[in-house]
Amino acid sequence: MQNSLDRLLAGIAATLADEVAPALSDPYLRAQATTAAELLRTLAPRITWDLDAVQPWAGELVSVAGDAALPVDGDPEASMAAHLTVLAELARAGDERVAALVDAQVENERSLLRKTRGK
Amino acid sequence: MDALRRWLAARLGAADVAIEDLRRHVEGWSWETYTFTAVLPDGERIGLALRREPEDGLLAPYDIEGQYALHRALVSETALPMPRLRWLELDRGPLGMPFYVMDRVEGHVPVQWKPDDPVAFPDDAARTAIGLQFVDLLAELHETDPARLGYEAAADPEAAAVAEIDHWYERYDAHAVRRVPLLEQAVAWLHANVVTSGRSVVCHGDYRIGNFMLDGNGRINAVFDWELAHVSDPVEDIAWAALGLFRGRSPLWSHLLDESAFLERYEQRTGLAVTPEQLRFWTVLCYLKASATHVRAAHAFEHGRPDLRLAAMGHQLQYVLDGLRRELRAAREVVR
Repeated sequence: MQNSLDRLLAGIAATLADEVAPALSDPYLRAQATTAAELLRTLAPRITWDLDAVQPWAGELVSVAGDAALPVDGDPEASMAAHLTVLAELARAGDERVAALVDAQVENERSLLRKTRGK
Repeated sequence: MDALRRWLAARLGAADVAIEDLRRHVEGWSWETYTFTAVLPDGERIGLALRREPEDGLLAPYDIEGQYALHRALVSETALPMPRLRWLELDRGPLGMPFYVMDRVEGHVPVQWKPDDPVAFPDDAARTAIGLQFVDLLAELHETDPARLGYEAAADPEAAAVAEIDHWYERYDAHAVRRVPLLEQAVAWLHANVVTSGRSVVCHGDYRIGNFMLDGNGRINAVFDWELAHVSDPVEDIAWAALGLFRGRSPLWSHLLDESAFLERYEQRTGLAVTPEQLRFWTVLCYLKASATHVRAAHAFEHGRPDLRLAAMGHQLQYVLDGLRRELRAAREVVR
């Protein structure tokens, strides 16, 4: 996932409210789009990434990279970015262990996508 | 609309021009494409297509004069099916950004997400016939002296390949919202495994299903989206057309021909026998190129562009990376 959770939720809400809703002539559909935007805005401050789900490989990264890969306390968004930066630096000159970790990172993202699509 | 009408009237020497059937084509990620019919006061109808430079496109910076010159050269110097050019407008006044206008070509565009499209592919023979044309047109482009198209062939194809790795890495590097470890690994692999055919030609840069049109008789009557055209190894275009992104799990490259049929035909037309090593190198580079574009899309969304398709590209990056991972894995297996 490239984009931050904050931006994704805010961006979807904004597009629904500012672009989709005004283009809908049916009042019922317009209300659906506007309300969906409002719900997303309400949910946004209560939602964070579940690091255990999106980065099950993070523990292994710490064992390879040491303290440099320690999570940033209480901030999943910053932790994800930090982990990926550390792994990316290792990957440039990567050994087999790092290659396996990179592989696990891609596979995890892929399997999350597969789950959301029911495949 | 009024601005376009006034601009067209001046170009066509008419007192006024009506515009009908205006349609914005949303398939593209970069240039904005519109088709419409210009209706003159005497009733004459002219089908036109307009390509406008985007304000903040994914492949900026743009060179509209270069695009126009290449298009004109392709019309005059090759047998590639290209629509007739009409006008180039560099002034931002009329439509906000530079644009050019060409004749509209009628037909049907097969796309990768409709592999069994009955209009494009009524049977296997029709699919194969289109595939052979697809290869022949690519060969036609690659066999044309770059100088005749306004380009200069690379004196050192290997150095040019290295420059291309660096180019796409820099694009990724400048726009990554988050680092992508697999791309770092891929770049290291590419630098250690440069293999070229030794040829230097004008490549289309985005040659695949979705970027050509068919007339009603199964003939390719237009090849479009030339904005990534550049001088490179011809294997780059072949590897791009073969990417899993454009064929899913099908063994048919771009849903047209399988590997052996594609490469055999290409060799017949150009004399170039593509090796597995060349194909792998360029496939990995093509995945880097595709990834860099997806990363840039996510970056544009992160920084305020409202188009949700850009955010979708950010997570669809995973499909590109999955293909890249398979390719790198296969390369490791070969070494073992």
